[in-house]
Amino acid sequence: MKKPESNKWTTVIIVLLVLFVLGWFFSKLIALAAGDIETGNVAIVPVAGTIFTSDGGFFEGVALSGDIVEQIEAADANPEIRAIILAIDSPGGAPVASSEVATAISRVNKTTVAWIRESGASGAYWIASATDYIVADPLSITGSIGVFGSYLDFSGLMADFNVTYERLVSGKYKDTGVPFRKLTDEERRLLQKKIDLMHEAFKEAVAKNRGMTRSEIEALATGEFFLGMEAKGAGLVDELGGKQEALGYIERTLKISAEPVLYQHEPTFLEVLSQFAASFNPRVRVSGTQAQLS
Amino acid sequence: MALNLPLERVIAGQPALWKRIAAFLADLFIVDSVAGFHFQSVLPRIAGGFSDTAKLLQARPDIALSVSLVLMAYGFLLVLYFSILEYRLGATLGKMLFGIHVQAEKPGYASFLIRNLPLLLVFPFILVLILDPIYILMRKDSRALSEVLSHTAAVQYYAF
Repeated sequence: MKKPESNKWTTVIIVLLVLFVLGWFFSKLIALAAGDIETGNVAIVPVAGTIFTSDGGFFEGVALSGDIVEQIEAADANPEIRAIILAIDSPGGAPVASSEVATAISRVNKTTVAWIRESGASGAYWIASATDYIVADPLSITGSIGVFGSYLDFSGLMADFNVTYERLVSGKYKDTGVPFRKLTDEERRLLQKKIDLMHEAFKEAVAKNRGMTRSEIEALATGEFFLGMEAKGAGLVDELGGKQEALGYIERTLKISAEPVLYQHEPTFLEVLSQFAASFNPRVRVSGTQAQLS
Repeated sequence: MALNLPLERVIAGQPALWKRIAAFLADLFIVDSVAGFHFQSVLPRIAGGFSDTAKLLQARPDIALSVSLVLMAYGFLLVLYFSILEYRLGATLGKMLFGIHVQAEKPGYASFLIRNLPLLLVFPFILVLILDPIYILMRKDSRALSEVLSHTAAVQYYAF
């Protein structure tokens, strides 16, 4: 038997209403389960903490170069992203880690801006110099183009407690820089040479990135840190300001309305667990001092 | 003396392929307009099409969970829409528009539910959805695999 027309349309309306309500309900449920997905055309990649290639423990403020590079590459691969802002708040870090991030940012085919917050010094400044434009607060700490490999010498303390260092090495420089004996003059020269080489690479990179002459970079690369207001005059920073100025530069350059979206590595549950476990593990250092850009 | 002949003879035949496609697209449009837009708040770019979604997933692997959930929810709504309307009225709104009806060999909701399960867009049902067009093109009676499995058929009534 044929259904009356009115019944037919009642069924249609009921089904559509149910779909409308269920669609709303599911969307709220998904938002709760997975969170709203932020989109935008400007990726903000945080570089916060001391920059290293691997994690030093659970409670340390460490910016892992691998994670930062991953976010930069993800933002570069996303066609919706037109520009990348590095939100830098870091005193620097290890040379290789800093170089890795700087190389990744220089490979990006989009507009890049460094927004230096509290500090963007040393290795963090190396990274900032690889961007197209640097914005810093007048009171930000920046510059500090230098390298240090200083460490504590415990040999005197050990002698006081009648603890001796039994030297067992193959290769006369293998334990250069261990903190349990004094450096020889030859070893000191050797370590200084390595540090100087790192400094040279650092200076060359910054000079190239910022379009500076040899004499200009030599004058600035003394390891001295500069406040934002000083760095602007010295040509290390392009504009004084903060996030709005960084976004403003992008809007002026690309003629777009900037919609920032955060690109940040979210540790998985397993990563958090492994970091926690690693914090209890004694770290074994094979030999040598650990150089840090400073 | 008037002859007692039937005034009209109605037979059920195969609907044209273009009508089936058009009806399906119309139904997708209706479901998207009524329920799909809600998901734009959790996944703004899924409405941009598959290529945009693929690019988004490639660039933002962290949103894979949301995309999966949205696809599942969307599939569920499609199954509800198609199965209930086909069971209650013999056709969805899109099919009504193009004069297509669905017939089942056995009465009951189960046949209509099975027929539309491939719309869930999850494995293994999605395999049936992929094979459906091949079946329509290859079989003499133009029945899709989902129709063969559910003992149903999309028909069009021709009157003489």
